[in-house]
Amino acid sequence: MCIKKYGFIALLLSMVIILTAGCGSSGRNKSAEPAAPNYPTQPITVIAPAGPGSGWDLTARSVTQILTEKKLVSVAMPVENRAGGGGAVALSHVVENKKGAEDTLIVYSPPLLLINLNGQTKFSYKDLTPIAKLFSDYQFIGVKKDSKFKTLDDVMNALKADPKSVKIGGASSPGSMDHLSFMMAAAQKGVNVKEVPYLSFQGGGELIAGLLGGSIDVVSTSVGDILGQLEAGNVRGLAVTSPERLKDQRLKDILTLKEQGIDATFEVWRGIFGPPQMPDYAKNYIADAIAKMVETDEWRATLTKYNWQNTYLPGDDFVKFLDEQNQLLEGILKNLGLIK
Amino acid sequence: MSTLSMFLNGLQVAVQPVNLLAVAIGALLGTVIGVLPGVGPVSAVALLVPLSFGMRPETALIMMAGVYYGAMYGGSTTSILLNAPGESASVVTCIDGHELAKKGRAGSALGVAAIGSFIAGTLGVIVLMFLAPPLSRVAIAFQPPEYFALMILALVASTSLGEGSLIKALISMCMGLIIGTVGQDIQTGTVRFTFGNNELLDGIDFLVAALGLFALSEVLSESVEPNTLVTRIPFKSPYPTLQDLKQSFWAMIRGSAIGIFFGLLPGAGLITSPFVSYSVEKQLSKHPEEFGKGAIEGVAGPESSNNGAASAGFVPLLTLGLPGSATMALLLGVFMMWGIQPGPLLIPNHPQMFWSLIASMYVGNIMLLILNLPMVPLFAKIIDIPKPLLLPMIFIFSFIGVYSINNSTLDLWLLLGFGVLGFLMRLYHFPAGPLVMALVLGPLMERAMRQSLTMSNGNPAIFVERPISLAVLILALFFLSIPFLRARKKVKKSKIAC
Amino acid sequence: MGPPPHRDDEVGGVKLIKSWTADRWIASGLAVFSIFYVILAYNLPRFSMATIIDAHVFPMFIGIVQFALSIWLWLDSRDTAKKDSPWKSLELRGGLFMVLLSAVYIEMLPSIGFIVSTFIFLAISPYILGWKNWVISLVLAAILSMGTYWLFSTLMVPLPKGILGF
Repeated sequence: MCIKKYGFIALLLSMVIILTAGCGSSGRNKSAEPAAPNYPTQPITVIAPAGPGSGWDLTARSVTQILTEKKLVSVAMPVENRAGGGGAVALSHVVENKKGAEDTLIVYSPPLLLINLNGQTKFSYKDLTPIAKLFSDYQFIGVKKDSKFKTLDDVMNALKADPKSVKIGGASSPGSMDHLSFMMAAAQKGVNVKEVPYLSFQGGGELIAGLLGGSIDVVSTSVGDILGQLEAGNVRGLAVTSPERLKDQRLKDILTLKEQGIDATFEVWRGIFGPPQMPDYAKNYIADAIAKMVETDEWRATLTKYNWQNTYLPGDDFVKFLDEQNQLLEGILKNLGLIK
Repeated sequence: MSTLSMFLNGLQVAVQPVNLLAVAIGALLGTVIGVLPGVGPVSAVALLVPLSFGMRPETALIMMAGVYYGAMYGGSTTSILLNAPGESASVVTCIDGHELAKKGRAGSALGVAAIGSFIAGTLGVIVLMFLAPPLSRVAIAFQPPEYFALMILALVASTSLGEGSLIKALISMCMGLIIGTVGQDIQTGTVRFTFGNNELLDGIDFLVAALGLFALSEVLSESVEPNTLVTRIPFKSPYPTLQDLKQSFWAMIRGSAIGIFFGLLPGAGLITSPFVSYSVEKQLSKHPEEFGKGAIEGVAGPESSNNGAASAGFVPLLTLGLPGSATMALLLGVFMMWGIQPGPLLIPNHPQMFWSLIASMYVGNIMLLILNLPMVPLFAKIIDIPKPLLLPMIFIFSFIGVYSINNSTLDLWLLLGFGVLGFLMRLYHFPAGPLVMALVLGPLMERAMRQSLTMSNGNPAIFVERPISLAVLILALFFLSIPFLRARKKVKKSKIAC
Repeated sequence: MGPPPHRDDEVGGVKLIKSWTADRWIASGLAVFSIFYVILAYNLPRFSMATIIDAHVFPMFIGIVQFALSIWLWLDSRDTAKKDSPWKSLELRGGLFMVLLSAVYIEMLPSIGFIVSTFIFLAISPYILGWKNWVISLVLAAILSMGTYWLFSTLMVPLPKGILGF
């Protein structure tokens, strides 16, 4: 009687297992490659410091997909999501538990610098092994299509007259990218930025609902989040933070900050890092694979699809870039009085 | 008329063999994955994204929608059978669903859940089909102050979960809000109540509390009662009876309506609608005392409403590009992968895509019903496994579910802690439902409150100055006062009887 | 300067405490907890931008509400009629063992891995709960622990590997 019952459970379980096994194991590739005799032998885990669907996650999945599909890396590259603390949780995990590891990589962007600068974590990019900058996105400042503000100057003048009169909204917290990129521009125009109300929304969708529903007057967010509304004509662009105009059809008429007399750019870069003291052979192997990847048509197609700008920067140049960015962000945060 | 012809065109696409197969695979995998612990709709969709690369865009999206639907169906199964909710939308289903299962009526509960989901899903698609563009305005009418009012309403509704006194439900709710404040404040980055523990930065996941307070505490309660371990549950019918269906029909319709309305609101709909539906059913019922002890309407309403909300959630996604939940955000990513920008231009620019998706939703709903109904008696038998074998399995099930969220053993300790807390709360008649609900809603509520106050430069009058927010708050007050009104009525009645 | 408390009152006080219902104890505990919570919230660091509604506002608000609610519960449970303790009819041994075994399980999980610890857990716990047929529980434990591990690794959801590498 009991055996029978147990048999039923086993049957059910094995059914489940068989059903699910069929779908999950695709995308794995166990063939060895002659280029590196001893490395890699184990799957290389790529950590996305936020949940599925986030920018980091998307980056990690796009990169691993091309690397394994084009056989640039000969082992499987599972993506592991370690969300928390704006990336701080994953950072302390990698620094503390993965020192010298050869089978772990992690994807980051400016918050890696910000969480260190504003004291959320004691670890910084200097604890990691920077491998390459992959691409960049830029920030966008805009208003609803029927807004009384026609230019960025209109917004800035209103803010100068009364800092509380215009509500700014972004999809990240105060002191993070959406907030900083706008306030950096406003500070240069002489606005008392500490008094400007800033509403932070959870994600681009809510932010846009807030803009269209009139909760905020000005939106500051990444270009990628706003494209759909821009195309539909619901939103008018006032500025982008790139050094030059963006090429996309929908964006080419939006002025850069520089064109409007504000000497600033804000780059939302994404890069790939190894753990602290990553062995050189592993670092070189990955760096080579990435260098080959950025030349593939698949990678170019991915960049176009998500409207990412190719700003690939390998090795030491990437480290130099990070040093500059760190100084720049520190300056902005100090200006805003967010750090001392 | 043109709507109909476009729909028929879409239907032609949807019934192409390859697309039918895609729906079937999606629905089946979704159901199976939805049953697994910790692998809810989000992970189900995420897992299948790579699989869709080789497909045509319509086929891929149709499969994704099938997975999403299937996972929503599958989520209720573990709630009913094991008292283990896999996602926030099926917490409410636990309360009466598992009680029914313990009485040997798992078949009724599962069947009613499947049928309710089918009705709600279908009604939701009808709404999506005819009213999507106009309804998208509802999504925008709800701004932070309205969301705050809505959270208050949902919290009030949550106090009707389970038996016990109002005051205990309120305390339980407030405790949930307090637990919800643990972690890094998303607005200022201030770290709150983590006591230096980095793993708590992102707060305590809802699943940790839900599995602890429901599944684990149930196991603990059963393992300390020697009699229940040996008693076998008398297995009644494997399917809902006609009586069950009659009793729950209107609950399904009301649940669908509530779900569809709340589903239009991105962010809050999927979580709040089952609670509101449960509360409404309890208030309207002729036998409110049965709620919490196995009322079939307490399964039918909330299950319909979460599926209604799941379909209606496509309205803001497809018309505005606003994802209403994590799964929706992922689906948005899938759309973009195919170079389709969800938003105001999706329907005019890609009509074939839109209509074949709609048509495939009908097909998917029917297919899920066909797939799920035969499974009901099979699943219902799980409850028949001898308790000493089943209870440890529920433990492991919960452990895996929690571990797979963050790969953290701290979460497992918290899970165990919540299990013990839930056991004690049962002993002293504090309902767990409001706590779990408040844990989910608290952070949303705090955010809405702070956004609103920033909008008004600190003036709290903003909540009562705006008509929609005021109306919702009045509704909440009304809900809160119902238990008092009922009590007074009872007193009057008994006086007359004397 | 009121009159010194009368001795009878003190005795009355003790009596009152003795006849406290469980709810009153819970209410008192909650009240103390919420005061602590409000103090912790008040002492949270302040953000430097004036326009932001700061991180302590909401916690302080709910802390105060919780305090008020616990007072309400205290007053509400005036009924001193002695009820049987809910613990009386319970056989705590099974539950206690389950909690202990889970604690050991969690502690061991990272070091000895999912398969071994789950196997041990599933093998022992049915016995504690009164299942005497070892063959079934051992076979079941083996299949479930390995089956789920395999299932989740195919789904690319990592479960702890442990020192043995599985």
